[in-house]
Amino acid sequence: MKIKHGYKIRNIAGENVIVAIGKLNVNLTKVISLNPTSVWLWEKLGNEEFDAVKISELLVSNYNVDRDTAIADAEAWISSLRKAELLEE
Amino acid sequence: MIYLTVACLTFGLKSSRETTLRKRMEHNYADFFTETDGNNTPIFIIDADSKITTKEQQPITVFNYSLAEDNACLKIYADRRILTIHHTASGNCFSIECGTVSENNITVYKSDLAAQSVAPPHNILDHLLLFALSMSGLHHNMLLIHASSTVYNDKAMMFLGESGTGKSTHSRMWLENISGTTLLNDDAPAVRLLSDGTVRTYGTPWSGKTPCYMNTSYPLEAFVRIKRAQYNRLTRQDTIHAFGAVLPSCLPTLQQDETTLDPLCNILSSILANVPVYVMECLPNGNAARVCCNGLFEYKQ
Repeated sequence: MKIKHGYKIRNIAGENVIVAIGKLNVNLTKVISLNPTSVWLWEKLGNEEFDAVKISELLVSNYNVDRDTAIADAEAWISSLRKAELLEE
Repeated sequence: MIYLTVACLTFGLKSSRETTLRKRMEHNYADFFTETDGNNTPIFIIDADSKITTKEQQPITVFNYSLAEDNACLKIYADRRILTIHHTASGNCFSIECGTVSENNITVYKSDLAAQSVAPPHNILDHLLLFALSMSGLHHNMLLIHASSTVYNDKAMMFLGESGTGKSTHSRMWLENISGTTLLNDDAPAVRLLSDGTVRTYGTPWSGKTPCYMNTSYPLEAFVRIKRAQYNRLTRQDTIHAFGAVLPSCLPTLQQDETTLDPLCNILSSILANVPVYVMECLPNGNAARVCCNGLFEYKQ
């Protein structure tokens, strides 16, 4: 899977957000807030393909976190992105 | 040349059929006709006698949407965008091209509004002018918002919501139940961030089905997103939810590519640093207006 093309992180009044505009219906506009770790992952991954293992490795190598926690966090992160329809599977 | 001033921004409409156009526009633009005295340079001029040619170049993005019975199509190219409205009743098309053409340092938008055998229908003329101003407004910290706006205590409130959620109804509840309330606009008021950091709401010639075309402005007190509920409750929104509540009420035509979405987000972000946003869950009754007013102004009946 990878992050859908065409989204970029915007700074809105001090918060990092993704603005996802509904293509056919303005009701579908979504604003997704990213915490600093998400911003870091988002920028690190860019256009690359990834899975939960790859993300957990990134987390382990950059944050003080054990492998099991990292896998759980990675899965939770992927599921949030999927829910926000920001993934290309 | 017809000069119009909306939200303190002046623009021109040039046509050999000026007299006919002016008469046609009288109904809702009368308060907005101005003369330039040389001091207020127009921010753009529409040349309404032009021909719009869609070259064989492929647009980067095409956005189709409906406008009551008519169909609109926005074609976005690298250096310009063309908005075309197909008038279902007559089969005619009316277009405007917003690009980078300028004469004597004034941006010129080409349009075929007055170049056809039939006069442009009111709703199409309105929509094309609104689009032109919304494009140019991005350079002047101005946004047109799909809202119903009332004034109370010399402050404007902007009620937001998708068509049919009850923006206009909520405005009417204020007018009928809170004395001293007046209507500023019922469909597309403008909002501007001024250089001193204040945010003002402006009446415009575009007010939907309610004939309320006021060339006046007030400081903006709050944005209030209206949601239908079985109770009346006003809730202040945090930054993210505030942005999410207001962005869908900005023009969809400015949200289809980054060239316009970027400045739109920047202006909105600065406005929201100065103006609170609320969600009003409400019934269509007088108490809804009182609850809203109490929350915004700590008003005692």
